Amino acid sequence: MKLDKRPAPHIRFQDTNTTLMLDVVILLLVLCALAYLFYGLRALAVCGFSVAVAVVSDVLCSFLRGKKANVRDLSPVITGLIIALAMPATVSYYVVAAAVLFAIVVVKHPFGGTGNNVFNPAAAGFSFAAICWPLQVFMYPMPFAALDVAGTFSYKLQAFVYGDTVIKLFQNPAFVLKLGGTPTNDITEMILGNYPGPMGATNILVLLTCLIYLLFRRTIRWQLPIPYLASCAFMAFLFPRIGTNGIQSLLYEMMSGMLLFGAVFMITDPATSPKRDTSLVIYGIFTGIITMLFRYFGGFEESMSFAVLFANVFAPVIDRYNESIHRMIRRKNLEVRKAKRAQKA
Amino acid sequence: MKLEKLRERKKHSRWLEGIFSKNPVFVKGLALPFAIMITTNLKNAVALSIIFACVLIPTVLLASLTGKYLPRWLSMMVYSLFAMALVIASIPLIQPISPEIGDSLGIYIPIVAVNAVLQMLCLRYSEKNFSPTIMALTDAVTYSIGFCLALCLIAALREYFGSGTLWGISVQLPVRLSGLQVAFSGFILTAFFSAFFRFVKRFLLCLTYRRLSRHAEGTAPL
Repeated sequence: MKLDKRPAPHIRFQDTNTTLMLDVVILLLVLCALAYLFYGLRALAVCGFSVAVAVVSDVLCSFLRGKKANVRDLSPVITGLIIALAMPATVSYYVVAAAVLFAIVVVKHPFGGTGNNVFNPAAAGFSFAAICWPLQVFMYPMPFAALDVAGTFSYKLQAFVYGDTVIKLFQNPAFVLKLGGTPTNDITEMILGNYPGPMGATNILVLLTCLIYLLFRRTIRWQLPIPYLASCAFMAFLFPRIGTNGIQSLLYEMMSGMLLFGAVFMITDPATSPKRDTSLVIYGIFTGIITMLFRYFGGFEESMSFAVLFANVFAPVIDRYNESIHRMIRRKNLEVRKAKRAQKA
Repeated sequence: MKLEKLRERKKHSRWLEGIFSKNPVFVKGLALPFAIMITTNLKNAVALSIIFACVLIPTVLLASLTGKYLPRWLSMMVYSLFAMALVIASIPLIQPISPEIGDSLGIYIPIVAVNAVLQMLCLRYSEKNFSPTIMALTDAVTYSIGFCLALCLIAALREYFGSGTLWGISVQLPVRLSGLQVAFSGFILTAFFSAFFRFVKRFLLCLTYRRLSRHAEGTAPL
C-alpha cells in the first residue's frame, strides 16, 4: 500500500480563498468597466478611491489588532468595489469613504476580521451611507451624462455640480414602485442597463452572466441565490404593488434597484451565510421574503442591504436548528434500519 | 511579592474606582439603556446624570445605614420606593435646562429608580458584614460621576457629529453624520468606548506591574 507521508490535509483542492475571491473581483472589475462605459472616468475614480480606502483601513486595522496584513486576502477589495458599485456615479467621495470605513473598522475587524464577521461589511457600509445621506445615495444621473471627476453633489439643487455645469439627477424605478406608480422605463433598456441607477447594478444581462459564471466556477452554490430570487419573484407576482398585473410587477421588481446585484454579490458572502445546503435554501427564501417586506413597508426604496443585514443575524440560528433536524432524521433512519434487520433475523 | 504591592496600590485607587477603573457604563456594562437611548444630545445626558446622582447617593446611604435592620425580602422594595420618591422630587431640578426636557427623556426618568447600578450598590452595602458607610457614600458619588462622564462623552460625540450642534448651539461642520442620531450608533459607540476603557485599564495595570517588578529587581540583594 502506498502511504502519503505529507501532513494533513491530504485532500487538496485547487481552490483557495484567494482564487475564490479573485473570481468575484474579476466580475466586479467587469462591472467597473461597464460603469466606465456609462458614466466615464468619474465611475472609475469612485471605485479606485473606495478600494484604496478599504485596503488602507484594513491594513491599519490588522496592525492595530497586532496581526500582519495578509497580502493574499482580497476581501477589502471586494468590499470596496461592492460599496462603490452600489452607489450612484455622482456620489461625493466622503460618502464612499465613510461607508467603507464603517464597513471595515466597525463591522469587519471588531468581530475578528476576514471570515469571522457576523454581518456583511459591504451591506453594512452601504446601509450606513443610506441612513446618513439618503439624498446622495438614492439620486442617480442618466447614463452617458458628462460627469466630471472633481464635481460634487449639491444639496440645494439636488444635482451634480462642477463649476457652471449642473447635471440633473433622477430616481430609480424602485422609487416609482415605492410611491405606488408604474415605472415608464422600457424593459429592453432596463435589461441593457440604460436607465438611472446604481453604477454596477443596472445591467441585468451582465449581472445574470456573472451569476451563471460564479455558479459554474462553483464559487457560490446555487442553493442560495436561486431560492432567493425565486422567493422574491413569487412575492412580487402574488402581491403586486402596481395595479396592472403580476407579470409586469415581477419584471419591474426584479430589475429595479439592486436586488439582482445583491443576490449575486451580497448574500453569497461565504462568511455570513449558513454552511449546509438545506440551510442555504431556507436562508435564501427567508432573505427573499425579508427583502420584499422591506421594499413594501420600509422607509427607503432600496433596502436590499438592510434585508441582508437582518438575515445575517439568523444565519447561525438556521444552521444550528437545521443541523439538529438532520441529526433527528439520521437517527430515525438508523432506527428503521435496525428494526428491519431485527425482523429479518 | 510583586502582587502584594500591586494590591496595595489598588487599595489606594479604591477610592476613585467608580470613575475610571470600574466605570458603571463602560467597564461594568450597567445602566446601558441610558447610555444608548437618551444620548442623542448633551442636554439629555446632563439632565439624566443629575437625576441619577440625586437618586443614587441618598438611596445607597439609606441602604448602608438600614441594611442591618431590614430583612432581605423587604429591603429592595423599600429602596426602590425611596428611589422613586427621590425621582419625583428631583424632576424640578432639571427643568431649568430646557422646558421640554421631561418629555424628551420620557420613560427613562422613572426607570432610574430601578436601574442596575443602584440595585448593585444597594445590595452590596445592605449586607451585614460589609464596609462602612463612608465607603458607600464614596462609591455612590464616584459611580454617579463615572456615569455622568460616560453619558456626556457619548452624547457630546453623537450631538457634535450627528446633528452639528453642541448644547443646542450650531457648530460649523463640513460633513454631518446623521446616522449617529439613530439608536444603533449608541450601541456601537458604547462598545468602542468600553473596549478603549478596558484597554487603558489593562495597560495601566501592566505598566504598574512592570515598574514594580523592575524596582524589586533593582533593590534585590545579589
